[in-house]
Amino acid sequence: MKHSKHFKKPKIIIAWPYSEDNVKFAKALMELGIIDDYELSKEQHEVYLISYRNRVTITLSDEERMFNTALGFIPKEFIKDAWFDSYIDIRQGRIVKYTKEEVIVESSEKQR
Amino acid sequence: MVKGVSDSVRPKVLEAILATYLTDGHYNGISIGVRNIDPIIFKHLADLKLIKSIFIVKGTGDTWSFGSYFSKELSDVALNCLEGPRKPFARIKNEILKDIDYATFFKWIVEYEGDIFINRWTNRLLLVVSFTQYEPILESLNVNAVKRLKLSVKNTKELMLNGVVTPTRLWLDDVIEEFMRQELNIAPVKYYKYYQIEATKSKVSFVHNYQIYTDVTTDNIAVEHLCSMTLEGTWKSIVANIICETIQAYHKGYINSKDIHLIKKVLSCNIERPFKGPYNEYIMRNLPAIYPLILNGTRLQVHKKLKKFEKLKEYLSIRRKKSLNYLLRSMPLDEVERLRYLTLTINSLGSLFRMLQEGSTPIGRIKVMGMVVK
Repeated sequence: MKHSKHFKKPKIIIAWPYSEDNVKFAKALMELGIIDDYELSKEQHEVYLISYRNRVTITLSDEERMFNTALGFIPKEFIKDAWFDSYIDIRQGRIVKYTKEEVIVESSEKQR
Repeated sequence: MVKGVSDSVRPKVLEAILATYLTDGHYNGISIGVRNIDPIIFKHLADLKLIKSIFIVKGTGDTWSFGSYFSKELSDVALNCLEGPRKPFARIKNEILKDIDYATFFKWIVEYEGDIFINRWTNRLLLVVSFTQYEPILESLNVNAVKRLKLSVKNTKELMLNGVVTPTRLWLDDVIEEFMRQELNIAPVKYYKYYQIEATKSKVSFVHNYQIYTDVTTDNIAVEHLCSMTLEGTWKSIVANIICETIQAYHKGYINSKDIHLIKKVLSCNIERPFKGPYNEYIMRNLPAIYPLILNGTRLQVHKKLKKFEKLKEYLSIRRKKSLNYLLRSMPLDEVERLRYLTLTINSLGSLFRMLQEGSTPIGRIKVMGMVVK
């Protein structure tokens, strides 16, 4: 199982700057089934959110669940107006919807 | 009202309360004993005439501690203000709580218990002041952990929801909430708390995590406020100043997020990692500040203390190998180069390096001099 994951090619990669909390958040997104995996960059400056599927959809409610899973509280004041900014740095795939309600990222393969 | 204390003495008494309260106090002379504590704190306490002498002892593990006794008289006054004998379960009496100077109180809490750092929440840049208190759970759980084990926030929450464990409300809850109400009533500052259960071989504890967050992604409103939350001349105030300047430099586009990560690495004082770094050298440099207090006592006592003092210096400089020099040796060359740029861009970081350059070991000095531009 573990091996097969390594040979799979990610279809969507979203990058975050590295921090211990961001690693916790990535893990939480994985637990919630929103992404399939996460990785740290070689020099640990970035965290990559990985999906092997063609589409990733994230809503404000997902973001709140992510905080609740990782830290045990939801900082509504911090996330309500800017949460979607977190999903702007797409390293693989492309953004097809980017609103206060939801962000949708699709793989480039799907486009072709 | 505290018995036998006049209004003019009251502010200092309150400082005594907080200083004693934050320590492992016991009746009849409250002692403070903190691993590798900033020696300047002892100078502050001596300036307040709260302590007269210092002892140096080897800790239970591979640590050295400074300690000091407050007078019995002061202990009596302090304990008169508290309900219960020990931290963190004692509460400050209501009549005392409403009269406390929270700005001063909080500086001491930050100094003894707080941690100041920059963090990332996804793409938000946050300034965090955090506190951690451990509440022992004696018979509630039966975990026989071979090594330190920390449950996730989620698992801890589940145990709490199922009624397996219930945390106690600690004194810090009252103090932080009151401080937030009185002193930090500005929009971008938010306070959150979460719990984790931690098990070691000998005990299981509730970890109370208190976090005060400020979103500094785009503005500086609360950044400068941070510096005012630290005691002047201490390591925490140096850290706060560096963080403050770092965020300002980031906003101006002088540095990037990788640089913030690098500065965090330099400042990090986590004993688990090889990056205790500059803190040990900072302590070493400030040790002379407490000499007058160490030299207090009979000739024999002074002799014994000086011997321990030398061992402490050896411990800080050689045994732990956690110096700025060690830090620089562990870093890749490109990071050391980038650090050179950062010491020039962020004045307070440059000052720290110059300060440690003067106080470090001969080998360290050569290395550090190589990277600080005069």
